[in-house]
Amino acid sequence: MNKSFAHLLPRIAVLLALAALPLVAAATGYMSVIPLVTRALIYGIAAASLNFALGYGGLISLGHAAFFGAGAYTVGILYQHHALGVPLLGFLPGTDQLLISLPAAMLVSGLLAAVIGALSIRTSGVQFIMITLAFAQMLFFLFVSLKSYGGDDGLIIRRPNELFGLNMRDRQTFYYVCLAISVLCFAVLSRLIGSRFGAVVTGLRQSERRMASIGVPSYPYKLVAFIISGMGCGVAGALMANFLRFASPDMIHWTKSGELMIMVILGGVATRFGPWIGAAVFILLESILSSWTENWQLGLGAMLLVIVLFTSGGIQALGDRLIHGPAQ
Amino acid sequence: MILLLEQLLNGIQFGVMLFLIAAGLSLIFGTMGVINLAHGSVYMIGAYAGTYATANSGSFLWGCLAALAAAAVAGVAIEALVVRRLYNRDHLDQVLATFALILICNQLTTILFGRQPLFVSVPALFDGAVGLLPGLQYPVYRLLLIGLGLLVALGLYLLINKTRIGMLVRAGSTNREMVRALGVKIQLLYTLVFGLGALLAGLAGFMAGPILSVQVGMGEQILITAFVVVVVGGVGSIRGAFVASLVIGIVDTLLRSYMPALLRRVIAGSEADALGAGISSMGIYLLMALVLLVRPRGLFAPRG
Amino acid sequence: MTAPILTVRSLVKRFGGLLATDHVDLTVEPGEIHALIGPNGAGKTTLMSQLMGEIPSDMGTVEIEGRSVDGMSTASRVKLALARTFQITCLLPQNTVLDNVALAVQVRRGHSFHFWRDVHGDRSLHDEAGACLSDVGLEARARELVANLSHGEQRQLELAVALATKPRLLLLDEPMAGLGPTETSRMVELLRGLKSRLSMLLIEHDMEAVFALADRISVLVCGRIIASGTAEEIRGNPDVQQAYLGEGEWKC
Repeated sequence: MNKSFAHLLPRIAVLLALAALPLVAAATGYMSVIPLVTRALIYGIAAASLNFALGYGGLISLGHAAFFGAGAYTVGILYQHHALGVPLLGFLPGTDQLLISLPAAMLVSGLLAAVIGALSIRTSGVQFIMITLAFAQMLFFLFVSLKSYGGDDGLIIRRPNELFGLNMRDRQTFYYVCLAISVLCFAVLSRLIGSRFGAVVTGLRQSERRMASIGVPSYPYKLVAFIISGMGCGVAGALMANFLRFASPDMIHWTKSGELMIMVILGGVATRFGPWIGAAVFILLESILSSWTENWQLGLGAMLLVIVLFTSGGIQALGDRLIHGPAQ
Repeated sequence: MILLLEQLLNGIQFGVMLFLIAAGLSLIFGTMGVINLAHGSVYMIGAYAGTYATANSGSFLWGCLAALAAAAVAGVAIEALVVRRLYNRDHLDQVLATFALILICNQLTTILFGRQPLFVSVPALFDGAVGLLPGLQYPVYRLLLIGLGLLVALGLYLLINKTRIGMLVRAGSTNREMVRALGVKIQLLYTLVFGLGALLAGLAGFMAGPILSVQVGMGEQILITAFVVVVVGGVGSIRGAFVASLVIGIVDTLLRSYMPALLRRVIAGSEADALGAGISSMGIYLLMALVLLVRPRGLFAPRG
Repeated sequence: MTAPILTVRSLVKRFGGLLATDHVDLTVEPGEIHALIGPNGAGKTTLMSQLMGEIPSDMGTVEIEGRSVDGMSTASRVKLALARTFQITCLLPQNTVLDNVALAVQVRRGHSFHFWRDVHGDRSLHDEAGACLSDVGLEARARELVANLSHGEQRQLELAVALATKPRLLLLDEPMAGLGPTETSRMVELLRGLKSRLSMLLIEHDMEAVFALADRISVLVCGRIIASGTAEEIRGNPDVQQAYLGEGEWKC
């Protein structure tokens, strides 16, 4: 009883702080904090989803930007067809409703993850990394070539999707929507990690050989983990498209996959809070460093190099060890 | 017909250039077990160093030497400072560390040379075209590239199959632990292999300059294509890299030249061009997917 | 006359020019402990890997309870009531002792596409896992992380995990390796106690343990079975004596 309360307390505190943030920002006049934290939450969803496959599952995918971008483009394409009044592929009506476009984004990125995963998971190790990277790049080229959906310049989405008649253009409202979805994602992923499925997935990462010898076929479990993480990235992409009112091939570029990976490792691989912390730190670093110099990626690269070479576990693992003892 | 031959030759030329890069990647992975995303950065460093030297000295030869030297130095530096610490680390750490190197190299290059692409002209000596067949004039420079690439392939074949170092490399790609246990001066072997890979990449970068432009980010694009080559050919196999790079070079080039025209018969206007370019870019990845369906480990995967 | 639980016929495995498994014939009868002895490099572990489906054989067949398992994956063979312990322990280092066993129990019970309920709160899993731990005498260490176990305790855990899959045939790869005298006799007692529940193919170097446990012994030298029979037959076999030069040295 005591232990679960100790676990719950920091989570409630963080949630309260995040809920209060827009009010504090409005009161102190630092309104620009809201979009910053919104972006951190959206990337947190993406990083946490990647972490499920990568950190817990050991599937080192350099192609998750494909699912992020697919989610964004689903929203963009659906909106475009709604705005033009022309059905997609001749029969699918466009939409500007978040309640439709968000699940649609999940579906599309899930299907994409199923196809890419089905092929990639037949391999492992270095091959897997290269293949996921290659498929994401393939998707990048595809979207660059689709002139009717913006091509190289990207696809503008004039209005953010509607949700229950809320004013989604308002920064605060959109922030709360993202916060709600983030909390939901955190809860779902948490449950997954602690479930029987999660136990098998983390077991597969530690020793496929051991898992085979107790009767676990690795392929189906890895594939499902991959699909789930792809769907999560799709949700993040859909939210980002709404946030930026824009979907571009940059969201599919493999450097985006790299950024997501950096967020995961910054916060600590295979930890529950890690990806969210990592996303927040990354966004913060990006905004601070880029205000100093155009060449901020140099600093980012140097920092990343130092972190990878000289530390292990990232920020949350460090904190965990200090507070709770052995890693969970 | 003439056009087809010309495109085939272009494909072979692209292929041998891919081979220079893919061979290095395969060697590095096969011998040391490290996935090196920064390989493309060495390609870029070779291109920039060589172009800069050529522009300032007026001599192509100096440019070539500068490219090789810069690539070798960069390679050794990367190996000594970063890659050496990654041998026993897991793939995630290797990916992130070498990705960090890409960020650093790209930014440094931008700081030194700016974002605009550098245009390099074909050196006067190799300018012009040669009549291969009646009606087929082919650029000398591209023939040079093909010849160079095949020479390197031959050299690598001799190195890997006929020398002691080659034997260690072959042994290492099937059983790394055993080679280490043999007590061979393993660090020296690793540095040499890494340096060789870097040299090849730097050479490719410099030679490619007149054909593709020299700009920041050039390394990553071709690196990903090289990854496709390595996956299709089989990780760790130089022979696989050779066959796969030629196949992919030819397929990619033919798709790019014929796809837009094919599409224009079906769709009208500029959409066809863009879509054609898009689909032909996707072509080699679809090829990779096909190979994976049938042979998940690649066409020439080494045993073990 | 019941069928053997394991039938190996003419199994062959080549690594390039090396013949690691040379037309091996082997059976394990229900309820028996069949020991496989031989010098290092004789091909015992290679044979075990083939039986588990970890490496493919070049020729020959393997049948479990009369059913051919050629071409089946390791996981599928395990589902047919086969299990193994590893010579170099292969456990999940970041989990506790109980978790390792509970996972095996969970897998045995069916697929694991259960996404909601917390596995740590699952009493029935833990109870069954606890029972397996008691069988091997590790129940006191249930909450300990695997990384903190002694070598002997890890061996016991390997056995507990294998038992959790409720196998009918257990392949043991040098379970006594690295154990001291007390631990060895405890392991021997454990294995003897399991005879009523399952059959075993035991690879082992410790001759005392082998003679104490085995109903039948086969001798593998250079990939070939050179002799097979009871302990007395093997002790008196001139080929075995010739191959075994007293100090534990074997000649190929």
